[in-house]
Amino acid sequence: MKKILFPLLSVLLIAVVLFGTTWALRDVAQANAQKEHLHLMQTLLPGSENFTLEPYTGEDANIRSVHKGENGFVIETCTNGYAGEITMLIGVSNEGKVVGLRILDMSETLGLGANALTDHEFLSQFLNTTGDVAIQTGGEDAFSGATGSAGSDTETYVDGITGATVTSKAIARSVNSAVAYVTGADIDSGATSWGG
Amino acid sequence: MKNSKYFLITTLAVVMGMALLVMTLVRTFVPMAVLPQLDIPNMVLVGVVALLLEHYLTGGSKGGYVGIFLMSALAFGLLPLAAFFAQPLEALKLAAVGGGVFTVIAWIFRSMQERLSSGPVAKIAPVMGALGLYLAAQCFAGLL
Repeated sequence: MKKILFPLLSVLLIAVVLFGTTWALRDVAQANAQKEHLHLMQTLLPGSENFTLEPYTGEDANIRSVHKGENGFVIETCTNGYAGEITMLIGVSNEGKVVGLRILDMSETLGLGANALTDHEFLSQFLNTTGDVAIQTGGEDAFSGATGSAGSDTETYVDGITGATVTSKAIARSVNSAVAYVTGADIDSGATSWGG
Repeated sequence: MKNSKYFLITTLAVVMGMALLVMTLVRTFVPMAVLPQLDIPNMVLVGVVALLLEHYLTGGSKGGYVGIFLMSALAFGLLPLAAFFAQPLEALKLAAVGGGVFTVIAWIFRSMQERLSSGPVAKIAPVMGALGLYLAAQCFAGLL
């Protein structure tokens, strides 16, 4: 029994230290999170200073929240990657053009999918696209961003990350969903709500 | 205390505690940073670091797997909960998975350790074994 007591006490002591630290820092953490979130949205959608959270009532399960700025939207998306969900913030102008994107959270494989976090060459391909983005891998047409519109005339192809096709497609799906929200396009057919 | 077969739990708690403390500070002061999740590969990473610490501090120990499972489950469940990285239900899941994962890697690591316990290679072999276990965990998580 004595043998177990010391490890048990060490677990409990460390738990108390963690709880105390987190509790003491909670106000600072909350303030910093709000400040950083606003700063990030301003970076993703240049020209917008203030954002209002808009209720999302659509059926696209990839969209988590919508923040409306003066000249566009910052949309939080969540899609399934290779090893878990990938959460992103995507800035889309009122004209339906992607002006900024950032990965907020992911748990992809180190050295492969996780490279998406810092692979600026890959991420920058999505800038200025207007939706219907598809991933091209190995010189062939890989399936698109799974919007169901592979092969359409309006598709924009971007190069996927080597060894991380699933992750690349998940990011493309996020971008397509975000743009579709702004343009009113149906992500299943590519058609717009006004019949375009 | 160093010769206790449960010294491993103390090293596990210290490694996990340090990792969670760093994550808490990062979450507070760099809130937009992408933090690692408590998934199987990261549980294995924490576990192998704890096993290596135990190995180099005490020379390792044997047996006690039921106790190791229960105590490591407590550590994997309670510590993320205390640091607000998991909700109560999620903490229960982490406890079950973490306890299982840690017990299995402790058994594998110790088996490897026994077979590489002599000669000049013995000093670095545990580190290489731990690295192999971590890579295997990444492959396993990919299969899941």
